[in-house]
Amino acid sequence: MSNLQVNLHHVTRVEGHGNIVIDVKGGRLDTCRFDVVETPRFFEAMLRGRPYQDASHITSRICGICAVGHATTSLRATENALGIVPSEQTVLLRKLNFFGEILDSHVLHVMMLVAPDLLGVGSVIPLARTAPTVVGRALRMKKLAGDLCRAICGRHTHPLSLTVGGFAHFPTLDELSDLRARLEAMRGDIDDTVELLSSLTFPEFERDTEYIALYKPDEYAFIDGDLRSSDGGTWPATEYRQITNEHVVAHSSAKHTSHNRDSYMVGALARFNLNHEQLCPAATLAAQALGLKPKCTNPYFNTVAQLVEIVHAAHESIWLIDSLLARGIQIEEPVRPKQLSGEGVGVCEVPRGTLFHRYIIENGSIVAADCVIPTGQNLANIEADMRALVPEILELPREDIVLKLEMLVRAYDPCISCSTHLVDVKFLE
Amino acid sequence: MTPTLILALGNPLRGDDGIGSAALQALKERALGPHVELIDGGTAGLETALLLEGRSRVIIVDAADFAAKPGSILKRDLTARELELRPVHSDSLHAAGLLDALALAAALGTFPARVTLYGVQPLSLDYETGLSAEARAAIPVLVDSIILALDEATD
Repeated sequence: MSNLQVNLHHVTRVEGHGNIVIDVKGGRLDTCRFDVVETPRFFEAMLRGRPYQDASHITSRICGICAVGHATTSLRATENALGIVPSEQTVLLRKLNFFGEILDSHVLHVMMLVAPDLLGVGSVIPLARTAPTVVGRALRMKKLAGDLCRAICGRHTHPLSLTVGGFAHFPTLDELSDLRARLEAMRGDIDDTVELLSSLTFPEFERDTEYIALYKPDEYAFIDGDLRSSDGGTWPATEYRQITNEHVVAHSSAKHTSHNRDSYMVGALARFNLNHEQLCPAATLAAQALGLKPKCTNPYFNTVAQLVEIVHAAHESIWLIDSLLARGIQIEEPVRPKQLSGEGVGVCEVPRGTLFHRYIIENGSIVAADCVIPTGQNLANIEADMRALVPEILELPREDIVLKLEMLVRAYDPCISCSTHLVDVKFLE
Repeated sequence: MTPTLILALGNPLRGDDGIGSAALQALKERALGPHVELIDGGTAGLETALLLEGRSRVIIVDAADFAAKPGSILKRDLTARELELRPVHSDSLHAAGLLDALALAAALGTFPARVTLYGVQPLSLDYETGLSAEARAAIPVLVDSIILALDEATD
């Protein structure tokens, strides 16, 4: 095919609104864009002038899927700004809460948004007809993940009890024991999902890029850590702007980012490539069964890496509950701030990649805020993938080209509403 | 027997979208007996399909735009067949909406024998708390009608 025009308005089964625009003339790729047309959200401006206690509740509204991720990152930024060191129990409970969200988000993406493509149907509803066991399994796993979050933070979407310095509510030992039993019982569902995905074929496409993820010496990092690049180098989280280098592009209401190359990738595949040695043994076995090997440069395998993280999160959650049951739950007062002014950065690996919040607080009020969202960081990389992929698949029928491009965008599990925010506006005098 | 489920849906922060939640409060003040379970489903996601599993009777209360006078009540039995046939994308405020969850239950074969939707025509779905006078006025009629339907169901 020497001429091809694709103008795919509104990619489905992703969160938010994005369009794929491809123009090939005489066999030459002329235009290749992933347009983000979502309205900017202005959350950073909303934070200004607000008391520091409000920040996690406001920013958790950035996303309905990774609300716990935003809240946790926000709390870490505030705590770092105000000299607060949370207790050991707080760290354990936050981690367990976080795993609940990783499970919820990854199950949604792997089993409800991507599985229909791999099983040759248009969405999760026909999938429920042709493969009811797969969808039933997904719903059960999502329900458990939601219940896990509910026990710890009150509700999964827009958590209530996560607060600066600790928690405003604690789960009972009975609730934790019940969740532990359900997580044990979920192992069968997880094994069946690994078996299913290892039998399916993902599109073949390789493009090496720079992978960025948080790194901690003692665990597969989700909350806190240093920034690490697959091109080499480790930076403290406070230096995140050296990595992100946000810039505005004309066709996207979300800013693009780049570091060592024209683009970089964050998310499950980046975490796996950088931190695979720290996965729990069951997750390592799952990666082997799924044919996922570091360093994997096929972006479609981000979904596979998410499934490996589902295994990791489920096993680690059981381990965390065991430690909490052994320690007992103490009803603790949140740790008080040492000072009411300061600057702090919070970093977490939320389901879709590295999330940064940075606040400047003066006398207890937020005066400046910066949030850099994973999908925004992936946009330039998605376009670079499309530019490399289109020439490789130009001989395919048009609908196959469109499907492969849609599947590529979906593989990144983009959350477009989250990533659109402040675009600089200049007035001509 | 699994109790009849009365499922209220909607977001009380969006004006009359809070009608389901308000109707549920009003129902709680009436003696409904042990065979009725009330759940505020909020902004329903696909997991709503799980709430329907194993039930024979479900009553859903939500705001519904059926181009009528604000406060009008629509009562309609929903069938698995019609839900499976409808197009997948809805314009619901709740991302994957109620009808998607019901269609999922239909496709999974867990759709209850009888599902009745009570929809109330909203006046406004603006960002505000509290119902319009029109939606508020619909609540007593709505509650009586639901209680009547429950009596029918147990006959």
